[in-house]
Amino acid sequence: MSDSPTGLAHVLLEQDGPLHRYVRSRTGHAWDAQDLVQETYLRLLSADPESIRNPEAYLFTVATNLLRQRAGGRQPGAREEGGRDDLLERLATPCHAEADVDRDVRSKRLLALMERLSPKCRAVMLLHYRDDLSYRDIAEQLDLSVHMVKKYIVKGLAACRQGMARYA
Amino acid sequence: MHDPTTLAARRIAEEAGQWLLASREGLDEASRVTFVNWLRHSPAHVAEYMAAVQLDQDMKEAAVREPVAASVLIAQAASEPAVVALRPGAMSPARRARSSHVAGRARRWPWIAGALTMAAAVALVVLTAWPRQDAPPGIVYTAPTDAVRSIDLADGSHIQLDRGSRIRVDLGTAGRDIAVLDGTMMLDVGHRSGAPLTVTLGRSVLRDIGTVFQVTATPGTGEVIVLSGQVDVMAPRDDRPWSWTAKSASQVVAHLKAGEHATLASDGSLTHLEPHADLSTDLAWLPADIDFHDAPVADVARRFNHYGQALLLIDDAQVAGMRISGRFHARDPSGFIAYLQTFPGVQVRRDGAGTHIVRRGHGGAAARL
Repeated sequence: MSDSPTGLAHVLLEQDGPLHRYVRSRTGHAWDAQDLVQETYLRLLSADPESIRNPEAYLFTVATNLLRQRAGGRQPGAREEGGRDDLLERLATPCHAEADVDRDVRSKRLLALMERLSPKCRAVMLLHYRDDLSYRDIAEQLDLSVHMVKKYIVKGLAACRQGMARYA
Repeated sequence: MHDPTTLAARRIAEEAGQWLLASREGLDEASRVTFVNWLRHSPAHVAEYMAAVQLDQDMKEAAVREPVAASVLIAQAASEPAVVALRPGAMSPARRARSSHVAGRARRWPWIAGALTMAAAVALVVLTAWPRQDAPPGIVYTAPTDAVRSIDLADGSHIQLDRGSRIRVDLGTAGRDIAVLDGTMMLDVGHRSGAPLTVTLGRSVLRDIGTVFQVTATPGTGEVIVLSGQVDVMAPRDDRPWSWTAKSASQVVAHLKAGEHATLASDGSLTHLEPHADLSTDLAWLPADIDFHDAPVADVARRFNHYGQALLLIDDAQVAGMRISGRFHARDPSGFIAYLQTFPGVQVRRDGAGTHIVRRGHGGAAARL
């Protein structure tokens, strides 16, 4: 895997993740992943950093608007949205049969990757993501500091992230 | 494996993960600007952060499929040595310089240094491998003092925990037990596990029979309110370790049905039974809104059924499995029902059992809740 923008963008959108499905459902085919990240990045550069109240929401709003512009322009295979689809759009509702298949594959891969984590890291990840325990609760259960719990989650996410990239 | 490119990608992935966790906890003004500047540093950071958000969602979906019990995970984590022995030659130059000074002194009495090292190693193994005798099995969930906490368990059960409340959950293959340690819990029992489920409330034990019910533990008393299904109140447990078995089935002291409200004394005896609970008051602590993200319609309908209104029954499997996101007023399901009616063929029928969501020409009850 490369950490170049091209490599990461490819991994981000070309694997079978929700964002990829989202893109495909709205444009009729896979969007050029590199373009989307680059354009989102350029919008971010041109914005006043002080004015961005919620950076995460900003990124996804910009990306969604770019996709919408693209889909509205010239895609013969793109879905026409109106009526019920407008409501789905407003509720950001992904309702696609193929999504269940993708979900299944991704979940199996992630479970396999979590198996390879150290016992502490795996326990932290599952107690957090499966059992919905707070950082403090996990720290108490595993006799760790809250700081260490967060560190294990970051390490676990990064390990799974890189592992998933190898599947792409 | 550890080439510079991979290491650089790993570093960016970890930074993205740190910002993800920080964003979830809420960023102050200075952190927000630092985060934006981190994103502006490179398109790679933008791509990696968006991927981290995606992975965060995927992890939740994947993790619920892992059947290993929390108690096993905790035991495995405890057996992992806290200190990893350094391989000879793997020490950093700075540390090697420091240790050579110590080694010089230790060389004078090599047998003492060796014995001490051995003793420390044995102590480490004993300390890390010894099971914690004082902790009862299960994991403890605590709700913050200023918000209701929503918990999805691996067996498909959904719990809402009132502010400041605490429960201990022990999900095993032979049995599932939830102990209400303090405060109020709303439990919607999941059916991914076939193991019997009990709720421990002081010295009382409640046995579920396919149910949504609320349990409150306060010093001296316990309260049980059944919203749907049935709950058996078992005879008070004695001071010995106790578990429910088929042999003890005769110990049922009360069958509670939907709408009933029971009060239990500290000795486990049933002190009051109210056949028509005042649900508007008893359930007032539940959140006013229902938020859901990419959740099946069936799960969303279950959430509405926690509020004591006419039951929402999704009778069509295809509608039940559709995934949706949004926010609705919890005490007014009409908006949600109107939304479901926008799907092709979806119709609404009402009868004594509740509000049925069906599709024209599909009368099956496969997905009925």
